[in-house]
Amino acid sequence: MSSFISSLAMGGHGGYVWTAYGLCIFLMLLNVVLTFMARRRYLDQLSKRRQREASR
Amino acid sequence: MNWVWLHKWGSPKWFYALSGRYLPWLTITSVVLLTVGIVWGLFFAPPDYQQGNSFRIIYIHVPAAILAQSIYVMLAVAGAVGLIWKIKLADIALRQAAPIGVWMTVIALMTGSIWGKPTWGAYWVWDARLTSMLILLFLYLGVIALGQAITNRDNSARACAVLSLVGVVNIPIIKYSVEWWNTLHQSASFSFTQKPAMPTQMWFPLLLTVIGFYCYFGAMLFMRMRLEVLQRENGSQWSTTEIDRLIGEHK
Repeated sequence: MSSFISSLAMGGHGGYVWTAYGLCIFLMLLNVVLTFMARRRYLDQLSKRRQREASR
Repeated sequence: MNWVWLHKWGSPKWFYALSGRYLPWLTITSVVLLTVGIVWGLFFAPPDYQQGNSFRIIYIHVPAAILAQSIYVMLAVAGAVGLIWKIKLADIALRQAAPIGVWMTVIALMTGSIWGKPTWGAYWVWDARLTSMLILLFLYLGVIALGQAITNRDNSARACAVLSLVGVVNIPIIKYSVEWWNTLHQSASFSFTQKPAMPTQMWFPLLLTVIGFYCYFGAMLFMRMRLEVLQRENGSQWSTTEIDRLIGEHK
């Protein structure tokens, strides 16, 4: 276990390495989520418009 | 030369069908390559003899930086194709690739800055490589702002295409900055064409993450373009059918 923790610390560079990876992965996933949300929003908007038109 | 294939790719309907077929494979390849490459790079690659473990940032920094530049070249190519052949899809590709380019440039700058601290002792220096990458970020933002500021679609497409073409001059400046000027930034450590300057144990995971980043870009670009194609083609028969299917799917 302690060897696992020391390997995470990366000889004092752990903070830099993990921050860099954390930011990178966060931004890449955020992009995926935002893209899905944009699609979601567009489809919701269209389906609402269709319901309005159908009920008229 | 026969240009039929190009016009086929220029057809939104054709693009939508074909990209839908490639998308799952691009996604899977990207997830697998990035996972294997990152785990390998973080835990199994040997530490650098000079930089210790901080060098492991290379496995995200270099792919993001390569991609940031490749995407800009792609904008210029799409811009040229759009100007010459008046293909709508080229404009869609340019518009949808630009924001991904922004994020890749941001990732390259941020990870580079974090790497700079333990290696150079500073988060930022006005070094030729760093400054030209910052200019790349502003060029991307300029293309996006220009596209949003002009409401007429044809004028907007033309303006974005021209700016992308003019801005591409920055790409060789970024590439050769480490040779032309006396920079703090180290020279290129990864190349598709030359023999790697590091041991295979270090180099191979980098190759995986570079290809993984490209696949990520491909998947993201297809996803974004498909949405814009659907929006632009709204009203045509095939897109109505597709939208019906998509709305029915998540109910």
